[in-house]
Amino acid sequence: MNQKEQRFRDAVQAYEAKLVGYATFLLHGDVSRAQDVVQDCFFKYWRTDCKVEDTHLAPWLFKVCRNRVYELVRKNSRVSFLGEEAELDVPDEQTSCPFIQDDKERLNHCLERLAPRRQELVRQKFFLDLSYKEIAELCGITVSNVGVQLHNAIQSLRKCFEANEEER
Amino acid sequence: MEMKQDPRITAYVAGELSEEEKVRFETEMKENEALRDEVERVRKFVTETLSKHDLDGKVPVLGPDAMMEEVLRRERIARLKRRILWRAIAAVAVVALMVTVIRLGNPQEQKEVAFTPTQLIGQDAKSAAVNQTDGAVSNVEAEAVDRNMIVAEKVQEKKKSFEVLGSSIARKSKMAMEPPRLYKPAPPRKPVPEPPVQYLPPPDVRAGERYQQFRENQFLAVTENPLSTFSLDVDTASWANIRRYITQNHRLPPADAVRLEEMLNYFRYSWKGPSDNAPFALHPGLTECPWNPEHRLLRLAVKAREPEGPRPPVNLVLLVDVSGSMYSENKLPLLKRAMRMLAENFREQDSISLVTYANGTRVVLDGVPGTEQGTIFRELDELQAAGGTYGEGGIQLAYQTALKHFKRDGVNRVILGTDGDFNVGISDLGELSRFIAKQAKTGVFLSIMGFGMGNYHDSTLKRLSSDGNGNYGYIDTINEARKLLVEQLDSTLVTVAKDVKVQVEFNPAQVAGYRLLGYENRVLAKEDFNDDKKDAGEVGAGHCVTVLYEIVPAGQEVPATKVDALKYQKNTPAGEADELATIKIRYKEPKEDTSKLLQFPALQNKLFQPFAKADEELRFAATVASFGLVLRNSQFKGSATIESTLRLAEQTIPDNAASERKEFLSIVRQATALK
Repeated sequence: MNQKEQRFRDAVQAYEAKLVGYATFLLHGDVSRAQDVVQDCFFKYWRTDCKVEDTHLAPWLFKVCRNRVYELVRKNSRVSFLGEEAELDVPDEQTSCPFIQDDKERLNHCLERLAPRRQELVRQKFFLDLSYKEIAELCGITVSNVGVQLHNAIQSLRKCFEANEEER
Repeated sequence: MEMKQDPRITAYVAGELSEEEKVRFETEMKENEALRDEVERVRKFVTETLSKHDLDGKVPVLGPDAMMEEVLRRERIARLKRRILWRAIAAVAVVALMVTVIRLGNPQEQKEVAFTPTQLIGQDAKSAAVNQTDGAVSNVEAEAVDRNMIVAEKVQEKKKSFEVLGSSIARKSKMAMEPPRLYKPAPPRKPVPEPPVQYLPPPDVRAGERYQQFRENQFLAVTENPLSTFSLDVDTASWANIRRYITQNHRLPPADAVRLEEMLNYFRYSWKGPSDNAPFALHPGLTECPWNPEHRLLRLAVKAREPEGPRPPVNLVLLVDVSGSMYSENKLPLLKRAMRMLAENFREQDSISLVTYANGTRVVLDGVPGTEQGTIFRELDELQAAGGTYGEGGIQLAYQTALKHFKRDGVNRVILGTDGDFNVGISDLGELSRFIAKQAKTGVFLSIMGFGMGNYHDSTLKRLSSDGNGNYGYIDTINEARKLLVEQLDSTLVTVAKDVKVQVEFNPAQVAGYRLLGYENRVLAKEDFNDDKKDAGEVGAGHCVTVLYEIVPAGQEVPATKVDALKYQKNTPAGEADELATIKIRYKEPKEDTSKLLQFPALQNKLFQPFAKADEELRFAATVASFGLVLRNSQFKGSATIESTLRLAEQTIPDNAASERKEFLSIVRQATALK
């Protein structure tokens, strides 16, 4: 196996699931389209001869993924994209949460209550392990804005999650 | 700023503060106990709750091997495209060079250059031969990659390059006033045969869903076409699909997804089966045509024999598509629930197999008795969607399994549940079709249940099920699954007649012209009616097939017939002047190869009833047809609009109507709002 192929396989191993999860989120849960998008991403990576530097690989892939989703939405009005309608000043939903036993489901539930753009930030930071700087670049906002938004998101999320916990 | 709102808290926990900021923040924390507590709470939440739960843990992935393969496949396609392009450019260059030489070869200079063109022709023939072998190589390669795409592209590329060739030749030969006659015309001038590819119309790319385009039946003049011949069709997929578009997607379906016969036959009608031994009864009706008051509507309802006695033993192979594209809620999960409902009706004497396909194929259950429902349920529950779509292999394995457990006196059937994405190209599809048709002859029939949206391939599924002597339904909700797999199980499983063809002969004394509504891809040539080798539709026990004709009464002009009236063919009508038409049905018993003929007495013109007095089933069928014409935006919709259809539906669907008809009414209402 040559070096290029090895690098390619490593990248798929490390990022495929994350990319599919992220694209699915951006595409409102359309997993099969998300898979197509991710295949496009890796094809693009292959065409660079897998020469993207390791330290930049994650943000590079997520950026390609996000752009590809954008493209898809532009071409095809039937697919909707979270990023476009999701303005940052849309308030998070504050309605009371139903009692949910399972921590993971409860977290998911609370996450879905956040404004879509903030959900994206939480995902980018804590599930995809991107830095503030990388997120800022990806979403086209400033680093300090990322900090403020993300902190607010975490506080809302925690409030929802813990309010739920108290009810137990 | 309130302490809790300080973004540095999260940044600190996430390790995003610079060294300097971090030192400053930690100093602040030392002095401020509340801040310290808040940081601790956020840290606890992030490390113990947020990062611990992998929310995307269950997404379907290909893995490095399959992804590598996919990328290499795409690279091959790209390389092939480039090669084709270069070859086209090279061909153009060769021809340009040759034409220049030909120009030199005008009469004055002929002697000097006489040898050149001959040489060149030889050369060109050689290069053409090279091209050919090269083409063969690329064909082999094309088979390895996505055939569908490549072949279509090739055709286009070639077409393009020939167009370029053609025009440049035309231009140049005009310039050279007298075309040289001394030598053979250069090879490219001969019409070059295009590769024998069936060129399908482009799919409906908007949706990623594929619908075969079709042209509606036209009005035909009885003097030219006294016979109307078609194959019966009991498919119902189109209506369920239209309903899904309107109720779930909130938009009107694309015109090619609307097939009138599948709308009409979706609904159940209250007709009685035959009283004698014949497999069918015919219930004709004639009334005014709601969208064209000058015309009449002829209804032929063909009702098949109801199932008698207990169902014969069943050998059923459930073939389930578990590829990644089946992941969404309305695909595999719905399919599992549907199959569970089906499984509840199995008995001791039934043999059940479960075969799946994704990247590979697998026999999950190999002919277990129908009473082992625990095993069947457990295996169904464990199906997971992931990977590619090796549908071809799945179908082959399913037929093998069916043959293994073949029941001589029973029902042998493969039921395929899929979204129709087979990942095979046109040539493969033809092969698959032939394979399925061959299997149908051995007595194993194929039924297809279509699921899901997004990449739903309607045209493929319809074609395959019809080749497999089966039926084809679309399942959008669990209720639809119940209707197809439980309530109409006998109709789905037990075929009472196969290759059922209908031929209607119209009497020119009463009818000037007619138009068959729907059945576009079921129309046969009049000679096919008596040809037992011609495959046609299958009808299951208790099935009811409704056929509508729009009739132009004698004495009126037939709209849109393109042929002038015949001068010598005004034959004097034979038979009773009051006869409207004679109906013949040809069918084969399920296990026989020779057809039988059923003749129904001629329909009398006095069958006619004004619309208000026509039977309820006819009025309802007319309403469904009107909706179909509007959704297709048919050129024959006459005065029909969505509003007139709604009024008609309100009139023809009483409050005590069956729930599926009331649902029809509500969907017409919703469609009114979508316009």
